[in-house]
Amino acid sequence: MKKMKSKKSVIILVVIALILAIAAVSLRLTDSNEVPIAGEEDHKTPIGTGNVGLTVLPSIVEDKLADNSGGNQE
Amino acid sequence: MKFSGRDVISYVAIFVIVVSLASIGMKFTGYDTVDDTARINVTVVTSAAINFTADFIEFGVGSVTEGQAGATMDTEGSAVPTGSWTSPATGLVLENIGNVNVSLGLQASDLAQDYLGGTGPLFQYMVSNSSGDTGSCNGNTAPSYTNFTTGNVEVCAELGTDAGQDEVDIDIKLYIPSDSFTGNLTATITATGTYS
Repeated sequence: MKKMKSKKSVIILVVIALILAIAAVSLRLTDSNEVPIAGEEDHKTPIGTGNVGLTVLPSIVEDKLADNSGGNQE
Repeated sequence: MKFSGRDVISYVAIFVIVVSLASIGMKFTGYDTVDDTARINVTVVTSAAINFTADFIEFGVGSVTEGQAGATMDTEGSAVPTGSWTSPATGLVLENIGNVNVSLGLQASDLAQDYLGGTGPLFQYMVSNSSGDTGSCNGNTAPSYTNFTTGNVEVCAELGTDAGQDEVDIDIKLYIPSDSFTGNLTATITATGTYS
């Protein structure tokens, strides 16, 4: 009877040891030592545009012939 | 003293229990005699961006004075003695609004001949640091008026990002020959920033 009780105690001890060992190993393995927070680099080439505008009017051509002939021109 | 097989198993089990409890205890309490470090990496994403804070130059309506070969005007407020246009006092202004230095290139939609026409037209640009932004444009290749091309030409080897060092003025100079095109003439200038 005493021998049976001793055997049962050893089994319980071994089971507890196994459970604790598994728990300890699991905690070690799931430990996160590094939390990387990174994103992709933006390698787009930036582009901007500007505009230049002007309005060119036709030049007024001086009519010397008309001036010299009194302003009449046929 | 003699150990039975059952005794050995018991001692091993007790040893495993002690070691496991110690290990678990260190995890929960944080007390650990072994050096353990945790690292947090934070990467700031590189963002390249440029912006024309002044993106339109309007020389207005005018014509070349009769009898003159042409009229020259610029964005520095210069007088136009041979034409009826008024030179504006400011040109295009471009700012690096990203967080990385860029090399800056410029190109135009048209060459002078295609934009203005006539005999010997000029369509030129000049790059300088904006007022109060000394050192913005490192490696300036256009410190004096330079003809526009339709291909990208690097004008600043490095345009900075720091406030007070991230803005350039792009002045424009035009020569309108008396036999130029007439009507509304518009050209587009494209700035390209690149970084490695």
